[in-house]
Amino acid sequence: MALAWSLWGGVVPLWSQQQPVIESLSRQSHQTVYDAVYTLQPAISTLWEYDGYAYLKGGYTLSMGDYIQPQGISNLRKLHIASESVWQHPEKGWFLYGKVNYENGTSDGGIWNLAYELPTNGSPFYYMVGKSGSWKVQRYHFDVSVAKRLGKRFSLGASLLYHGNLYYRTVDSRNTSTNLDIRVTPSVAWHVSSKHTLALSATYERHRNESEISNKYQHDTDAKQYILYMNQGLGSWESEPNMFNKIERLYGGALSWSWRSTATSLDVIYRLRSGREAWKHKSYNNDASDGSDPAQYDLTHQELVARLENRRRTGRWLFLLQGSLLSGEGRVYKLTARSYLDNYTYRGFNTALRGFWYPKRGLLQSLDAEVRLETTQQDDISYGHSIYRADLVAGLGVDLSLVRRESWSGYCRVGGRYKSNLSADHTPKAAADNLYTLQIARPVLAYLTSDAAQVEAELGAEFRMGRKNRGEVLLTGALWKPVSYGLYREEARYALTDNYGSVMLQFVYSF
Amino acid sequence: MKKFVNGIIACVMIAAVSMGTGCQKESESALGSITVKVGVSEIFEGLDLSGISVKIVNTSDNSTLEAETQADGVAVFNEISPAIYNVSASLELPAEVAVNYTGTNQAVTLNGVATNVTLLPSGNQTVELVLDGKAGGSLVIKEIYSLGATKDDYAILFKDQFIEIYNNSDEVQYVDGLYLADLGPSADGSDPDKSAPLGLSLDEYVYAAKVLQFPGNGTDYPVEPGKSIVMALNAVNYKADKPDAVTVDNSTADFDTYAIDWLQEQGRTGNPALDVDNPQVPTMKCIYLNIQNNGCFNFASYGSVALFKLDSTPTETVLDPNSLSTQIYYLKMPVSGIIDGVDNLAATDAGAYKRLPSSVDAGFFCPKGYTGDNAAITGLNYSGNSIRRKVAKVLPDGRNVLSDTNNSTNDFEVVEAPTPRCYDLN
Repeated sequence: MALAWSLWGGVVPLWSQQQPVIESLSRQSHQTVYDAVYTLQPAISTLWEYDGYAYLKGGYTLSMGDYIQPQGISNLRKLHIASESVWQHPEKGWFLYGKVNYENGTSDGGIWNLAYELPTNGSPFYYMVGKSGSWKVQRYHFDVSVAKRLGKRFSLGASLLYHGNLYYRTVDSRNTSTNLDIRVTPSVAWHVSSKHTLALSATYERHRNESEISNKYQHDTDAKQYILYMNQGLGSWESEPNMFNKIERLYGGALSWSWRSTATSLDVIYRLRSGREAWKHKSYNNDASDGSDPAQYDLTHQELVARLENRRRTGRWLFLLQGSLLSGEGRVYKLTARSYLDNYTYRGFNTALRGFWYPKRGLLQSLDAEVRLETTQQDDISYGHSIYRADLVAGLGVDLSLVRRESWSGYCRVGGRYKSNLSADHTPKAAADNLYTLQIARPVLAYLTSDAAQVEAELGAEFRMGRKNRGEVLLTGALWKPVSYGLYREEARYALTDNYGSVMLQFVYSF
Repeated sequence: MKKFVNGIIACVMIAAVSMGTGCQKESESALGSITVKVGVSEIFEGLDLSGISVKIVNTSDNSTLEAETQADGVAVFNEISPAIYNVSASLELPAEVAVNYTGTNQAVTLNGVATNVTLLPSGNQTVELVLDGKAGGSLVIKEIYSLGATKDDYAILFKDQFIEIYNNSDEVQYVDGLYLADLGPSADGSDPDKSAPLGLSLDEYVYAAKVLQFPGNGTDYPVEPGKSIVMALNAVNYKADKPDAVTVDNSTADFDTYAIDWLQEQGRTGNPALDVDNPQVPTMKCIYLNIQNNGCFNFASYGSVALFKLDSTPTETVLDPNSLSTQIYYLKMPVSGIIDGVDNLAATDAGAYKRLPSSVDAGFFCPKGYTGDNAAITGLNYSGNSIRRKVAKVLPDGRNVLSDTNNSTNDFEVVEAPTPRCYDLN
């Protein structure tokens, strides 16, 4: 810290909390900080150094293109409405945060994917069929957090997240996939001094998924694309599986240290979560099971977040460092042996450094840069099948003020990213001729190991409505385009002329 | 300020790259090996054991590996996944070679099979195969259409089933008095958690759930070389009834079945919804049906079929040791009387459910696990698919000689739709 602070020399700590010219940009910046820092440690929300905000918004998103992960979803068309607010009462020490969100849309795709959202925790377990489908998508999100300062020394906080997804296919094979996630995070902070705060939180998360699969009866003229599988690794699967529920429970906590001065905010948070994703028989059957979970995936997720913000006369610097290390082990239960067979390991490392500069005056509203390193290693023990991949992503963005009038303001954002595959290694060994390797691993790697560029742009305008309220119109677009092929060029499901683009139109009422 | 930013970025990148590259590690694996030692039965001693084709099939993913034996008759499969394997080897002896061992100037295919070979994680398994064989039979089961018709709302179900028998020899054969059996148990390996293998010895007897006998007095029903006869469950033209269905015209069948009168004579009831008699077509004699009421002589979808020539009709039954609330009996059929048999099961790892001894069918056929040329064929219930014997060669006179290595794994294939009499010599 001393070193960092000496490097930070020369700062004049007199940045005042003036309202930026473009308030929607300011809000987006505050949301970034809230999501990265305060969600992990609710009790330190009493240190929140920004103004509150509240808005109601609705929008429509359209995305399409052929440059997608082959198991992924394309042609997403969805409506969303959301409301979010931050309210604080510094004198009484209260901080309240609330967010509700609802999305409803349709999408297509999902070859070898009957789960819609493939696992993000490294787990190998999901249902799949060779046939793609059309999906209806509904998401419900509710997130609330509260923190209260108790005297000079302590703060208490807690957050509750409730998230529900409903995905269902509208053509064969059909799956009504229901997710219900909850997360509870109680937290306590000890204000060691006016500058130093130590905090501790505990976390309980439960993710539950239930699939109702109505598989199409295979006809003579159909290809074998309706056979239902439960994927269990990189080549291991169970065909025509029973129906299971998935329940993932994670327990953990976070430790943090925060440092505040007039000019500088620093937060360092370490969070550890560990638990098990268990697949349970939907209807317990004495003939089919001895009561053990058919499949288990144990995971440990470590995260390190650091935020450094400095406010100066000329503007504000913000740095966010986010790193995570996710490791997991999958196993399946063999009824004949009455024991679990370890079958799969996963290790994923992801670190990102983002820097933001928010000048106080002028055409330039913000300048941001990002560099991200992602590595994953997957191993199927039964087949000796391993996949390793390392990617580097670098991006730049700038927000520019176009119009600044008393009654309305306009701005634009332009940015871009470049994703470079640093290295990749695919060793299928005994799974070389396996269906998984041929149908999934190779086409997916052809996508994941490609280099690609993204450009993004946003046009925004905000209109003053009365003394405090504003109306905003935001039009956002992004386009990904492959630059070069990676592994298995001949099996790529895209061409270099393809792309994947999205457009979103949003209306926001800020109050 | 610049120093600060540079310092932060440098530290982060160094940490990130070092942690990230540390992420790649030597992958764990549980790969093992199978060593196959191939030998021959006493009668074929002295045969060259090198270059014999050995095949292992992973019953989990149906992947197949092949290797040839070295001079010592050993073939090794290294770095393979721990799983349950079916191991087989075969060696074709042309007539001029076979005659030195069998004394008969007829080609012989030697087979050796080991099913359900379990390779444990990181294990090394040794399998010994003894190749043996005899010259192929004259009458062979050419096609089993038991999976049932598809489309048109499954209205036909399995009522259009048939079994076809082909004369694979160069002499006229007669089916008069032969027995045709649907073998038990009904457990076909599709759900090992719910049904166990029969657990009775197959050395002397196989166990029939249903037995029919061809009518005739010895020479009433000849089958010319290169010709076949069709025995249909119902001799009905289902194509006419349901033109959109993938089904078959059974009105030209040589024989049909009708159990209702026979059952009623015994105080039992038949199933008129499934069992239709065509008076224009000779009806098979009903011998044994192990369903008390509402039954008919349909064959199990993944049922094993055998053709017998016996001096007398068997009468001894045996209780299925796995039957619980409902007692199920099978008719004991002597293995020595089997002319031809096809083991037909529902899963590639269902070797334990074999209903025929290896001396009759060294392997077994699994329509659902078939990995032949046409990937569209599923071999599922009500798919309209049919199980057909392959052609080994076509003689100059156009007669098809069908593959008869006494190993249905190699001899049969799944076809999209039933093909009665497709090999018949014109």
